[in-house]
Amino acid sequence: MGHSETDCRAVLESLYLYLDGEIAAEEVTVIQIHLEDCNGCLHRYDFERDFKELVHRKCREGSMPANLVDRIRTNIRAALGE
Amino acid sequence: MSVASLVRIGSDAGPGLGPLEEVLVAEKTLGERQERFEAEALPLLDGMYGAALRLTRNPADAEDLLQETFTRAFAAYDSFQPGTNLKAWLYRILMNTYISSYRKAKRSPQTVPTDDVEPFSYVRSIADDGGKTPETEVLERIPDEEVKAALEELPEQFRMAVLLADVEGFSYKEIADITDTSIGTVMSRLHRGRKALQKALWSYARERGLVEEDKPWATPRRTAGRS
Repeated sequence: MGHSETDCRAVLESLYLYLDGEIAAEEVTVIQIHLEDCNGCLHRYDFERDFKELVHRKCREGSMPANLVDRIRTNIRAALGE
Repeated sequence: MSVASLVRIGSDAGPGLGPLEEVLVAEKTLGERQERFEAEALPLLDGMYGAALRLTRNPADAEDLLQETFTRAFAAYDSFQPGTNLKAWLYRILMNTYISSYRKAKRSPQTVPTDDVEPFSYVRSIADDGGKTPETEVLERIPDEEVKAALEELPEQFRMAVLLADVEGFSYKEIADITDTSIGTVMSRLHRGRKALQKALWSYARERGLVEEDKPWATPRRTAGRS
């Protein structure tokens, strides 16, 4: 094992930043190297990545009601007439 | 004679515009604003319907919320700086309109317990090939409607953070701007919101028998005597 529990804690603390694309390139490399070496963190990473994708996919809506845009257009034109 | 040519005549007349010319200039500006708004802002409406629905939890209120949001946005459109982030600007108005007009009088709890929100254990021995984890396979079997309902049940601040980050794809900075808070607070709400959502979905999966209680990878990590 080339890493300590301290490494794991640091990686897990940055995991969301990593998944959300919010960290710098150097830090990304540190995390990637750790994940290659640590099944525990890799499993956690895989789960959090999948979970984010699952929420994104399952919580999306289809199209809005067809006449909503027309109602908003009407509201705007009514505001113009005031 | 067209409005445009009247305006030009009005402008040529110098600073001393008469009442008629002033009215015509104002109308021309409003007409331009309407054209820009309909061309730039209205196309983003469709993508905001889902967010409105997750906030209000029902289609009728979601439509009302969007109508009010876009009426307010149109009224304020002159204050929008062209070239900056229009989508984030509209979401900010959406959130503010929701908070001021549509939030249920009965306030939902603003915190989630922190000591038992790690629903999954992370077994180090699982050989991982980069594919779906066993936990995700369980969650995949939960119907979309149940995942949406679980998100809607989250306390408001956590629901907004998860919605804006994971469903809508905004950056931390954008979410901080939209919800009028710091990036640190966004990160904290996002972390706790995701954990609370995982916990809720996990409870659902267990209640529906989608997972066996005694599976080692499926046991809650720290239940601390709570259900």
